[in-house]
Amino acid sequence: MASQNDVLEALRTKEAATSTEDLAKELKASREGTRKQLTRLKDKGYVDGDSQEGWLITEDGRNQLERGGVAPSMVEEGVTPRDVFEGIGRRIGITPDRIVLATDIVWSGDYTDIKWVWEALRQAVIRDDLAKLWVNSWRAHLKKGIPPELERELVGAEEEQGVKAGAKPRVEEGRSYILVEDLPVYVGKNLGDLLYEDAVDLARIRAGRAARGAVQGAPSQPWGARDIIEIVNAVRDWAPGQAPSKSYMVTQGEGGAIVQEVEPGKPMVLQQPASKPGATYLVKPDGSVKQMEPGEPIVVTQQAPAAQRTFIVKQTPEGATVEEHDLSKPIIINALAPASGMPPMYPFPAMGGDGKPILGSDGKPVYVDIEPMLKWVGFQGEQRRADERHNALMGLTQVIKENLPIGIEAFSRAVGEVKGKAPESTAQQYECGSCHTKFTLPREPGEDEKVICPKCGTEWTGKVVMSA
Amino acid sequence: MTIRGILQSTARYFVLIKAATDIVNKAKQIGMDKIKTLVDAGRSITEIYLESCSPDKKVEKRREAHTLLEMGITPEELWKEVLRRLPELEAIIKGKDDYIQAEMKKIEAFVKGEI
Repeated sequence: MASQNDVLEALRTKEAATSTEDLAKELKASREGTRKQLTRLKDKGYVDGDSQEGWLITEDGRNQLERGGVAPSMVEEGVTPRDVFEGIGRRIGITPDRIVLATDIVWSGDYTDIKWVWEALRQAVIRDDLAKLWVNSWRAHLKKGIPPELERELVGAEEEQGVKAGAKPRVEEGRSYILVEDLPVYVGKNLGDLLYEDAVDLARIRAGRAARGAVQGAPSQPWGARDIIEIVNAVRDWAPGQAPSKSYMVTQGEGGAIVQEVEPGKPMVLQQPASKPGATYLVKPDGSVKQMEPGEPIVVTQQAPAAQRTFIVKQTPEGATVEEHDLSKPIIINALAPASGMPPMYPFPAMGGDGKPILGSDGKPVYVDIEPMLKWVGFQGEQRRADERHNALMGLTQVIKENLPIGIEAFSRAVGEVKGKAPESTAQQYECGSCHTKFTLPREPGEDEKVICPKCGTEWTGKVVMSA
Repeated sequence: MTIRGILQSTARYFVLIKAATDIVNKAKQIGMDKIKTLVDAGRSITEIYLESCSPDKKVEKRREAHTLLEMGITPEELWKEVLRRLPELEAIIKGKDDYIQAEMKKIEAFVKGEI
């Protein structure tokens, strides 16, 4: 797949829109890969267009090329095994046509099979030295060793001769080894990951782990004397051609297991490690730690159970406050006047039918807002007082209305008393013309109504009485 | 006399006139001819009236009488006020001072709770 810079460079020389297929052909890349790169460049604003109308480089794309080109990420580049294989081919100088041809052949089979890759490159008529380099690089990428069948072709005659002569030239060959199934494998000069010594040591360690069954993912544990013995035996088994077996003695010291080689014929004096009892520590209730001497008694004092604590919730202008109550002191509740400027009684603990506070799921009292209820009670009281005031006013008005003439007369007589004479009664008095007796009438008589003197019984008409 | 004195005098006259008016209205309700008959027969009008009253009514009337006494209104002053408002009654009891004195004693006994 062509890089994004290659695509931009190809588009920079075009005056008209170019199709994806033409670009792929020019770049000798696949159509699909070229289309992906064009889409990525379009997302960055370096090209414009689509597969239908063709592609054009933008001004930003030209500027980016002048600044050094696009630096795509590995993901954007779509690095696939095929890309890596083709990249190796380009780096060793294979012509693009031959790269595509060789890659197609390799990918017609199992491209992870080194023998097949070698065979495919031979079929593509790649030169032996280039094919060997290509295969070795690809093998290193796949972390694979040299197949025994290809050892001669891939390693070369010089190394083959060295191996056959029993020499150990590989030790000086640098990082030319990898581990395959916990065994060091030579993969070519400087084409591996490990030095020979490192590969051998690592193989030994892995062999030791395998011997104690820890390679199956068992949790790692501190090594003990038994583990060390197993490792030593594993190394000894892996290198059977070495010196005669040695004897080792493992003792458990304070700093861990100690391995000592036992020389033949030399007596070994076993020292009984001093038995040192572990230190005893006492953690006090306040958190302090004290190291106890052997034989020193430890007295655990029983703590008296904590008394129940009482809290008082106060409603202050700043809000509800909680204070711990001293049980030796009385609780004094100040009943505040309604107009004291205090905020409403909120929160107020909700009380159950048994007179005890209702507790929530968290064990704490449930508080309710009783302000609306207080307002309703206050409103009802105001209404009741307003009705009573109204009734009192109406009653007083009625009394005044009924006794107004009496009040007026009383006031007139009081004023007259001040002036020195009492006014005459406002009641109309009549005098009998016969006996001259004075009398009053409950109401003013009509003209034809008869009026009888209460004393002499003389009858008078109302007209006469009123005209008198 | 200060305004306070005028108001106190007005209150006193109010209570006096109110009590006298009630008596006059009651007398007129009974009828002057019947009262003349009772007076001529020597029957105590006060006694007859109290006999017709319920215990609650008696308590109410006794309280009103105490109010009159507290305000310095004597029975003679009240009687005078009644005659002032009912002149025909004056003609009926004219010359019957013993009858009037007996009535005053009965009223006094009632106020004291003796009857």
